[in-house]
Amino acid sequence: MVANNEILIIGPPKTGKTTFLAQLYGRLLDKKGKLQLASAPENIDGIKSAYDRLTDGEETEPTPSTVNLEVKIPVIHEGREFVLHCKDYGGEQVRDLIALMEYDKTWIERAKTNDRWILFIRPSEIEQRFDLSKKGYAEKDQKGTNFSTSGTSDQSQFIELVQVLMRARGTGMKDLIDTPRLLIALTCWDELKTDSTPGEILQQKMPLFTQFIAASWLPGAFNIIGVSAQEFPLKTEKDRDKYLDEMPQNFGYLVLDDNPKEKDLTRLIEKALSL
Amino acid sequence: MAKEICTKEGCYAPKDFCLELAGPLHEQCQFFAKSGATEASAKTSKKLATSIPWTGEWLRPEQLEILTHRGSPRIIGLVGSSGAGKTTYLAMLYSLLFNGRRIENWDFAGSYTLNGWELQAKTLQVQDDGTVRNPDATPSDKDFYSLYHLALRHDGYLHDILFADSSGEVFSKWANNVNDPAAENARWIYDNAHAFLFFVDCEAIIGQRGRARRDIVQVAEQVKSSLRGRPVVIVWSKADLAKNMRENIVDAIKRNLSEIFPGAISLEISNYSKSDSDQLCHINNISVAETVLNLLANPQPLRIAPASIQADDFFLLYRGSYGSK
Repeated sequence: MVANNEILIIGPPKTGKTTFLAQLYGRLLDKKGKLQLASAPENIDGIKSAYDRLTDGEETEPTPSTVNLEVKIPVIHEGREFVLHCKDYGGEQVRDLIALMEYDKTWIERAKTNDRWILFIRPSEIEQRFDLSKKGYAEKDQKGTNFSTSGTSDQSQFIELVQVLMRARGTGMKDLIDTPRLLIALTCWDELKTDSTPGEILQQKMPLFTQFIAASWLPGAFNIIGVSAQEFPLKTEKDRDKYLDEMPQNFGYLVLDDNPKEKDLTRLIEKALSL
Repeated sequence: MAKEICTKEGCYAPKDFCLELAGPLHEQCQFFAKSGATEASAKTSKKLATSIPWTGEWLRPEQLEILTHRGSPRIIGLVGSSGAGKTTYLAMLYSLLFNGRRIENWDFAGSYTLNGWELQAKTLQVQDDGTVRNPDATPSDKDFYSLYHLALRHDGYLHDILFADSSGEVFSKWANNVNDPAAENARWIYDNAHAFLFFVDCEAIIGQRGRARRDIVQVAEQVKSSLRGRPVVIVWSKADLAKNMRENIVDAIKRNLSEIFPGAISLEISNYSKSDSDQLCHINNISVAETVLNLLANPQPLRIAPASIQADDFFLLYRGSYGSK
């Protein structure tokens, strides 16, 4: 099946969707990457405030849950011109899909019309569980009083999210999946301070989810990469100065098979398009 | 987008449990009471939202249609007395998969009962004070069904597998009287399962000695009665205690079970591990699932070898393809 070039970024809150889009826009403007701006977009309202914050050395703000923005950016990739549809929305919407176990027309539309999905996962925020299958022995708590009632694990939520979106799209899981193509982007990579590959990190943080993807998608129809859109947190004056002095487009990198520190963030889009 | 109805942030009552009161009693919650107006507006926007057919909770027999449209799910019935570790086995199986162990040649390809698995796996989670929670007994109500789903890819095909759990008490009632009205769920599992995991509780054998044997044999005989060749895997649970069992009782149980289920594979499991890849905990808990799945995928045909024929006639001597085997 030929997949269209529509890209959907899927990510729960705080996985860095907005920051990535703002940085991507900066790179496109700079015209040094694989993808370049072809002509000025008609309206960049959606990305502008985030982009402005980064140029001021400030971190981007969470996108309100009710926001659904689409910015159309004309780009050139290998001599071919096309329009990149950057959709930004409140990450809470993604969380609601599995909390409420229902979706609305917007999400059915998103799931059906976009043939290339980029799933944003922030590995440093994935909670690690410690249970008897890891620990040799533990006393039984006879009282059962101090039982923590935290919700379901991050790992099961990501499995459920993919199942729900596939359902919204109307794509069955019986045969290995060819479309939508799936690019798993492990975001805020700098927080991990690791030399492992993105594939190794996903396996380490969410082995059952990794097995789920590999058992459901055709090999070659999915890929795993690392993303650090900001490169470091903008918490201190010194770090903020770096952004002011050297400008945001000089920070941020991707972790790819062929380059563990690729400064050209537009290659994430290229990766999604080449799956 | 249908928004949450309760005014408390992150609370999805009444669709989900009330966050404030940690239970289904959202009507008594102060946050929910404040949200009278939003409830009305949520109702009007409700039409736009499509509900997903599964909730993540364990399934009941009448909900199986969410699976049957894509093939016949295979049901594995868990049989054993109360406290034999049936539910705990499921909790451990999920925990092992969760942490990266794999069932060889059976790749995890999703589940419609993730919340159900998660709920059980929590009983094995080590708390801050270093203890694990004592799991609640499975309700012995005759209407209580809990079917845990795993979609597994084997040889390129997707198989829907359901582990059917029920309380041990119901199985004991059923073993005494298969028509007991209070054992409806045990009857359903027995009639519909494609394979069985038969649990033998090592701890009960230590504590109850000969009496444990009587109960085990009674349930086993009943399982055998209309088995129709369905595979049975015998699971010796809490096998870390196995050395404390009286040898003569163990021998008697083993003899009985091998007569009742000839050729059935026995595996010893435990939740406690001594090393990183512990035989009883890490390897055998997975092996139980792997063994029963392989038996389901490759049913052993009944082999009736033709009697050897004493004759000189070549026509009668010809044994077709059997001849070379």
